[in-house]
Amino acid sequence: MLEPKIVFALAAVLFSVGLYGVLSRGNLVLLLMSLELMLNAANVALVGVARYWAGMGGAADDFSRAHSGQFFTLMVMAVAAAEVGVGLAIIVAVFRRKHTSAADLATELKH
Amino acid sequence: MEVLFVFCAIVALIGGVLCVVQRNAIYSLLSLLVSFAGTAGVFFCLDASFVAVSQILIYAGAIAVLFLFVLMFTDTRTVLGMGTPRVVDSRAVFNPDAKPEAGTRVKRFVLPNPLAALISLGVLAAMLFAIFKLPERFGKFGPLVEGEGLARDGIVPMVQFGSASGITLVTFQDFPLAFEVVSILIFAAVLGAVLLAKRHTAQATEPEPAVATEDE
Amino acid sequence: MDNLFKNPEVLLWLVPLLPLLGSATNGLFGKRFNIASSGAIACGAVVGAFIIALSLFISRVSQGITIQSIGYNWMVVQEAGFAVSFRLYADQLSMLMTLIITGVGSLIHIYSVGYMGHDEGFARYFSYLNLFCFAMLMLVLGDSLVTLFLGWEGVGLCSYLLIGFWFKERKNSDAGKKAFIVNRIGDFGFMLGMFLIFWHFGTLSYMDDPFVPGGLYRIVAENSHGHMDLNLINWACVCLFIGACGKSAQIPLYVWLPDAMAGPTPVSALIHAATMVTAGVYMIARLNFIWVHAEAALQLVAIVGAATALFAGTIGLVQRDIKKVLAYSTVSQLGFMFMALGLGNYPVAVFHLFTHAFFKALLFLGAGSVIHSLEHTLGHGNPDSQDLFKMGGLKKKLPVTCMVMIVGSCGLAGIPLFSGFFSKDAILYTAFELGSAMGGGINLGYIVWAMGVAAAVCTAFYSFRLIGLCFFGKWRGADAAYAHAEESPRSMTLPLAILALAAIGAGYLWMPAAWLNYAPFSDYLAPVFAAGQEHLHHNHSVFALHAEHSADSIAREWVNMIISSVVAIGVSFFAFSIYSSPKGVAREQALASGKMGAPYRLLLNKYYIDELYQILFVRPIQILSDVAFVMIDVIFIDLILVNGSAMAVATGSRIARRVQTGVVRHYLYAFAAGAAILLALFLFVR
Repeated sequence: MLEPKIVFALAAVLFSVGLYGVLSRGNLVLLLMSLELMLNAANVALVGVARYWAGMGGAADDFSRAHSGQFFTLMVMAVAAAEVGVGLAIIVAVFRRKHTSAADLATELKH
Repeated sequence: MEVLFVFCAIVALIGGVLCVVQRNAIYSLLSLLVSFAGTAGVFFCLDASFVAVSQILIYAGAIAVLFLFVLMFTDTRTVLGMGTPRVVDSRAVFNPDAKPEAGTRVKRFVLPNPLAALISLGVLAAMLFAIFKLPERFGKFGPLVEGEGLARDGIVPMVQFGSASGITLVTFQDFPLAFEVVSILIFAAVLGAVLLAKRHTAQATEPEPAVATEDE
Repeated sequence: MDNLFKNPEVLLWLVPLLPLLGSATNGLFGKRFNIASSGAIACGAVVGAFIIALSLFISRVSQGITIQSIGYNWMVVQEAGFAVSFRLYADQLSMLMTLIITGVGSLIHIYSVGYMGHDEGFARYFSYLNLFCFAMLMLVLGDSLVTLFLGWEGVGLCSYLLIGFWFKERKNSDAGKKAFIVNRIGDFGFMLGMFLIFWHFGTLSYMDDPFVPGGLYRIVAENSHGHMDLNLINWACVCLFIGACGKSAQIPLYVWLPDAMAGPTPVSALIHAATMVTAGVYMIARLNFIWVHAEAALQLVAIVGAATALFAGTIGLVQRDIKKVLAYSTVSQLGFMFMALGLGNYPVAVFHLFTHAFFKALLFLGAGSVIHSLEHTLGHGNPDSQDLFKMGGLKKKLPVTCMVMIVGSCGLAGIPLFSGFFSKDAILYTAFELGSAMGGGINLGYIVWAMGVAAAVCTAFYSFRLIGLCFFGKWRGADAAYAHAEESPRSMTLPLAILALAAIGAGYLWMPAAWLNYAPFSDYLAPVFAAGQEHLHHNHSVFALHAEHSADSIAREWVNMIISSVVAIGVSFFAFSIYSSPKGVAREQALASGKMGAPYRLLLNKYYIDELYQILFVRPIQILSDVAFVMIDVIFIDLILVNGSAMAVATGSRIARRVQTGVVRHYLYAFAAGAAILLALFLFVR
């Protein structure tokens, strides 16, 4: 069962679940959570690819290169952390102004 | 290992689905945590032990707590049966005694959103199709090799794939710039978050009146 | 710098550029000028141009040295081998024209200071007048048919602007539009002619062309013996002649010129008598080396010219408006010039152009002086101030004007020893001589000669009818006007006096061979026509000019001269004796209401040509325009295109506006769906 296509499929399913959450959730906080789920799905795919390259064999130089996927997973986590920090701060600011964290009620950009 | 992978994958999926459909935000967050834990297991199965540990540390330790705090600050309760809060009245929602009207049953899960489901299923179908069409060599993971680490005292240690040493090697040999850039990014994000969340006195004294319910 | 301006190749450019500069100065800053400074700038520009032109004439051109100025190649199309040589070329002919334009132009500018001094638009007036001089100088000095055409259009524009100078009156601006539109018809023909010439010869420059060295002169000279498509050249010349008909007011496009009298009188003198209307004559004389190959077209020119001379002359007999009489006489005299051109005697046509420029400008300016003196009392634009039937006896009030008008009329009528006599007589003699050379009874030469003599009769009659009605007899108009009529200021009478001297003296530059073998004018111009004449002599053509005169031809010249002098003197005396008596007007009116009423009215109404054009061309176009206005403008453009598109956009945006809900989730839907579609496209459409 442990094979690349299965891992990618898992990532795809997790991604779609996250996408569904992003699209269906009305609360900004929950929306951001679903977004994290999507990022996580991408991480799964990255780690799976890294494992695939590590199993391809090759010279000694390729060893550290094969870690690229894992490195980028860490990068994504860092960016996700930054994004959540800013995103949540924005949500707090919006909430202060509008006394709600409902995404659908923040329609100011229309005007 | 395969059993662990399947188990963790199932946990991650269930957690994800629950996160998306739970009505209660706290439950949703807990489900998200479960999903992250499952994903960490998946990472572990894929020989990414350092990433798995980082996942637990960063998501469970930092991000989830952050979410929790924000949930505390803001209101996540929704009007009955709806996916979004429709009535906006700061006094009412901050009233801890506010209860749903008698006689209405609060459902545990939000109603499915057909349009969102359609779009995400479409994306899923497209991605699965792409995965299905991958060439044959993606059929199996090859055997892992060990690499050489940095020499110390004339001895070159063997490094395991996915270990902290391996990640260190790739980070500081191949991608030092990206590493530094991300550190600056996080710094900027922290500053931005502080600025955004800071209470402006002018705004605090004169809050904008609540917006009407319906879209104009 | 010093040397640069001593260089004639550079100096020549100053001749057209000075008036342009004056025009720009008056046009841009005219509002701040008073009449003195405005007039000084305008007159200075033209007089300066005249002095430069004169110095170049004396130092170079009169000694047979032509000047090709510096310049550049404009609109170069490498593939087609097309380029416009934007240079000036001063040879004997163009230098003569330049001197006429700047000389007569200077006098008219000076005259205008007095005439237009009370008009508030004087700066605009001088700006236009200077611009006209610039365009006219470009027309005559340009080294290419394209620069000629540029000037051609430029003078047309200035003519339009100046005819409609008092544009607040509808009839004036209508007259301007009429001139412009009628000229467009001619311009169309002119352009066709240019295209044909370029098609055949591959160049439009006279002398200098980057692709065709030597320009038209060389290429025509090289191909003159049978290497040319004569049919095509005939057609090209006919097309060019259509252009000349428009500009020089020949049948059938003459109708604009009488109406053009709506402009200020000095404008009529400069543009519609002395210079612009002779552009067609100049063009044919300029291209004489091509025209000699187009004998059929030349015969057409001769016939049209003679017909115009007679036709316009008869209309001029009965006109009551002093300027209209002169306008028809201009048309008639232009007809004489075309007659000469068509008979192949280019120098004589230019000679008549030369003398006509003086005496006709003189007559117009004199008429302007009369009008000016009457307008004081009658008010500006009052038609009575131009009505010959309401004048009379002005000799006592306007002695100088009267004197110079008589001189001008003698020139116009062809009274012996006045300039018009020499030039007109030479034209008639050319026709007579050609008639005898062609032989075989009634031929082109004799027909043209007969028409010319008839036209000369008309000319003599209306010239002295004008003099008699205007200056002699009894005053017939409002008494106040007569009482307050005063001789014009010095700035107006001085140009009149100079022009009067020129109108007498100009004719002596080319004495009839029967009198004296003295023709500096002809000798001076000879190089311009040498190439064409060489071809004609080579082919033993009857159209060739002969320098030496046989005893027979001298005899014929005497006969012709006596006939025309007797006619001119007799008819002039007859007309003068009728109209200088107080009963002249009454007699004419009795004639009009009597047996001769029908032909009189026919002449008075100009053969109903305007009405005929109205029915033939204007009406159908108006009806067509009305239909097109409703169908295309109102329904198609306004309703469907303009309002329709606006409504479509409004409806579309009303619908599209709903897409922009401002709800983040809706954008997310669109974004995700778009991503899914793109992904699917990548996967399936490969």
